[in-house]
Amino acid sequence: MKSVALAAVALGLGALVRADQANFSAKTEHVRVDVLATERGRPILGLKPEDFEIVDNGVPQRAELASFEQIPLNVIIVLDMSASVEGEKLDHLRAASTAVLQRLEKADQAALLTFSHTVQLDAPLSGELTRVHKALGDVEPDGDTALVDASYAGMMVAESDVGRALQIVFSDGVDTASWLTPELVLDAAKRSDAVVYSVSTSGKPSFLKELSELTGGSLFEIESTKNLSTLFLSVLEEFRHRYLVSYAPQGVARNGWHKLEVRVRGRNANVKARPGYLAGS
Amino acid sequence: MFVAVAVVVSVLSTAAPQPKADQYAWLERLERWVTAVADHEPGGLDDSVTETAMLSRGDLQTLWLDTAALLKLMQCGGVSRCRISVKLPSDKSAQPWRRVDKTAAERLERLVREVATRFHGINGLVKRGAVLHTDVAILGADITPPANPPVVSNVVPDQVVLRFKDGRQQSYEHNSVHWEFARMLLDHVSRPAADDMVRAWYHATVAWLQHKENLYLAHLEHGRQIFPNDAELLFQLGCMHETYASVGVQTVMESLDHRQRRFFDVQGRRAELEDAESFLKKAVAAQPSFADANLHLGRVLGLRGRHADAVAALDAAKAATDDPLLLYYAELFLGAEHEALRHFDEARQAFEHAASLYPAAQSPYLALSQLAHRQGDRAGALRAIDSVLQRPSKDEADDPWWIYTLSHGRDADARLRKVYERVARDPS
Repeated sequence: MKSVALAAVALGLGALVRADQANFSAKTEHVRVDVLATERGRPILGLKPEDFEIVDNGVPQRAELASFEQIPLNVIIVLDMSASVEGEKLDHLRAASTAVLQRLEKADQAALLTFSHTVQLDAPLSGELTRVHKALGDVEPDGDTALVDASYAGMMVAESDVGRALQIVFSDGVDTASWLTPELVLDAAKRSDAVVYSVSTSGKPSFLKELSELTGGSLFEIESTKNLSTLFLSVLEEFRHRYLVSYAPQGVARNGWHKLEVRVRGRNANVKARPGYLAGS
Repeated sequence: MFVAVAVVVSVLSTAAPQPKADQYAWLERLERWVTAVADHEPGGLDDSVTETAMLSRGDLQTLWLDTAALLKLMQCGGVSRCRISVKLPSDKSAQPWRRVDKTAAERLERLVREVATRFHGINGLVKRGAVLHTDVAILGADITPPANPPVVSNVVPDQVVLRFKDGRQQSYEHNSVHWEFARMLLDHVSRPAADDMVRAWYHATVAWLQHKENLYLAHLEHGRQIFPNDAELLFQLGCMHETYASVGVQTVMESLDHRQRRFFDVQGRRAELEDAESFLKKAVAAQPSFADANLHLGRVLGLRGRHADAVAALDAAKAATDDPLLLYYAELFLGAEHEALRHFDEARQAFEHAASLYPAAQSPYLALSQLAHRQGDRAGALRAIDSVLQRPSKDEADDPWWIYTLSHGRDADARLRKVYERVARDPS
């Protein structure tokens, strides 16, 4: 349950603690919310915790931390490698993913996960970006489309590390092979801190739309992959301008769906953040 | 994987007169066909298969009529004793057959006598003929007949097949007319509903078509008209509707415009699942220990949100089989149903059992990871997903979930072999 993170995970300090070492029985639990605050289309810089107004299930909360840029990114690139992704589309995917890797900073990490009917971790989450570059060159399209399974696996790769997770999902089709259902994976997304930005050329990306909205990301529906590099880079740019806000929930029941409202005090800001989180089974 | 859906799109046009120079071409074709049937080794890609596969659609259309007429002649005892009319599959009314001159009549009489001797009657001819055309449809699929001469008659229903893959249209093409031909022949078996070979042929060919993901509803429906309470055919019908309800089929149907869509017998997901449940329940009623039918019924009930009923059907499937493949599916589906009922311990046990049956499969570990994540066990979720990501095999044999929609035709080849052996042993 990543949405409720331990206070021991020192936000803003760049500490990387393996999530499987985490202990969920701790009494002090913090909720992390990735927030993009813009004014007239431009990110608002320099906000402090007290600038954020957070309401959890109708109960105002006090933001304790609001980190910006200091935390390294974990970028999980999840690419559709079903049989329909070939030729020019594959070239564009490789180029766009390479562009993202080249724009990452020293402390950032990346992983590459591809899917057809199967899900494959081609390059695990690591700061050694050459491994991801190499894996990108090796992938070959084949088979059906297990988009839902892969989206879940991508979230788990994100949860394997405490860094800020940006998951970029590309698919050109509908799911025809997953075992997991969209409902179960959307449910898992409500418990996850990963922010999913997705790109679809399928014309009917209802699962990706919901997944992106639930995690506070965005869905981009495109007809051609020609400008995919520009799109991927704009996603990375937007994500870098997000604040990671954390608070310890007060006065709300622990389990169940927590509806979140996030605003910036005293500003006419547009705020993009996940609409809530789920705790308990 | 390809899936095909068949639809009747064209019907009868009346026969045109033959040019004088070719006035006996139809008869020679009929005689050669009888020889091909007699010479064919069931299950083999021999000269009979090649020659029959090389017939153009126009030739096949004519041969269809003439074969039907030959069978009538055999029934009534010769050319001089009966007036022949041919009932066309695309038209309920009977059409008069061609006029024959004295030479043709004599040759036909000889052919009738020859068939009676070589095949020990009509049953022998039509059963061996059906096997020949089955082999042409299966083994001769890659043989390209010559470009069609002008079609003189269009008596065989034309089945257009929409092929698609991964939820996308690939192409339109003609389905093999040889399936139609084989069915027409077997319709002439005396009392087909009481004939074991005819029943076994439908079981085998339906399984083969399903295994190739050729969703040929007309073939299955024709078999069911002959054997209305046959558990196997009811089961396969249920499976076909279950597949029709799948995302892949539904997505392709949604991509068609209204005019194209009405040619296909595919309803919306909910209606297809209702039909699937109905047929699978009938199959189970006809044969309660039918493991495959209970398994698919459980899956369909689960998809319809009837989780407790699904568990009962899946438990019945488990109790009726020791086949690891069916047990794998049953455990995987049971896990999902127990999870839906919030029986988390039972769900985990079922997924773990599925994983133990197919250790290289991804699906049970995805399920275990998701279940642990849901229960707040992040370490367990990560351990299970690690098992998934350590299993990057794309081999479909490693995770039978990927071939679930083919699994009910898995023994098609063995069934076909039995049909061939039966016909070789006792053609009548």
